Amino acid sequence: MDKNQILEKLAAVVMDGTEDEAKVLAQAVVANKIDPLEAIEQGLSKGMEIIGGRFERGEAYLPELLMAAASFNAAMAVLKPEIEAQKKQLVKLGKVLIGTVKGDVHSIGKDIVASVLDTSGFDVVDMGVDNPSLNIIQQAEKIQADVIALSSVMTTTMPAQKEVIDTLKEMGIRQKYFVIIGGGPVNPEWADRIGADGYGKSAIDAVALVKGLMAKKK
Amino acid sequence: MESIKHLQTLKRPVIIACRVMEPELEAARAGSQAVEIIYLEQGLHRTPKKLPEIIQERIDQAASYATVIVLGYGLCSNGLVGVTARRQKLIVPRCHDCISLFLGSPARYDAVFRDHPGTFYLTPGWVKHNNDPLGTYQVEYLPRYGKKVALWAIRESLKNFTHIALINSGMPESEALRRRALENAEFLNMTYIEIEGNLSYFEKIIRGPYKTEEFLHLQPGETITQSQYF
Repeated sequence: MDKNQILEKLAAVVMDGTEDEAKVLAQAVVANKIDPLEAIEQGLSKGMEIIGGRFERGEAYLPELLMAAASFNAAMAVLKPEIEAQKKQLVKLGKVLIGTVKGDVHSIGKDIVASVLDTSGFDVVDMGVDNPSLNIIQQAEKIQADVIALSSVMTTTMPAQKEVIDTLKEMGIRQKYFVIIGGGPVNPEWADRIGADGYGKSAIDAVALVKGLMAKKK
Repeated sequence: MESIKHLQTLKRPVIIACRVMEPELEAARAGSQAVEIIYLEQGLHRTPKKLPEIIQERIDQAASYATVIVLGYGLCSNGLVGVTARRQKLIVPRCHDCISLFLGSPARYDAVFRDHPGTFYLTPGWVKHNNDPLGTYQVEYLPRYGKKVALWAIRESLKNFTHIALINSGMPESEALRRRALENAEFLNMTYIEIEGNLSYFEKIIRGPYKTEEFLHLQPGETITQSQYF
């Protein structure tokens, strides 16, 4: 198999949710000295994006999405040590605090974004789900985050994304952070309305978004 | 057939609602024929992008005889965004999902929700159409994926959920519903709670009053947007 075939196959096994094959292919990435970041972007994340689209259109069921996420994670586990070895020689791109907002316990998408940001060279601190706004801000202050990434998967909890931004403003520390948002019902109009610094639809989007924001900072 | 045709030209309010609330809406209607209620298949919220088109089609079909159109839907993951009634006024509950309707008000939902965000709510309609976790596991997942994957999938999908809540609005089948809810809680190793619901929001959907705190009022031709809910 050449490089392109491996990457294509990687996307396909993520879509099919075949965990063992995902592992084998990730090992092939390492053996063939393919850039693991390219494998994540062109293979794994691409597969996740396609299955995500199918799920949205009702062409795939939730278990298929979950199996895809499990395959993604299995391949990631193989690629991560490779990336860590490379990362030691790299300057960190920035620190991202990520979490699902208060009242929301969804984590599949947020976990994938966290994982891809992490392997793309960012320091990622994942706060998990159901985080009160003040806890998020406290943590951002503590770790001196550059970016706060907020996930909300229900329209019911979208106001909590606004709450974080409003509270940062009230505390006079809004300009210290880039705040980006995502999640199923979230869209660019909502990001504009609440004064977020950006919106990402997928993990690949999120990486491009955060890289762009960090470039502004310099 | 004749009588149905006749009825469909009778000018009266038309309610287009998700079938999940059929038991409560029928109880609230108490046999009244002053409104027409059209039920749409339950589970459409899972593909919210397709929902507007399906609702729009029914609104257009009722356009020639409805005096007003009332929706029995929450925003449902933006599943109502883009919907418009071209010829009559459109009234829509001002809530994000149907749980507010079952609990009686959006404010009540916020209060309940704050305590336990990872809660799976059950009502007669959810169970009847096998949309409870146990039903989803048995009817949807098990035949398609086999026991091992089906069990993993249902647990994985609800891994951050801690509570199964039965919304008890005093509906006739509440004993059977309670048994089923307890089975769900045991199956998923979650805490079982019971929350009192009521029919007041459903009664308002049928008869009004459509107070602006509880309902959006759209003029003919006006389109539902996400921002109207915030």
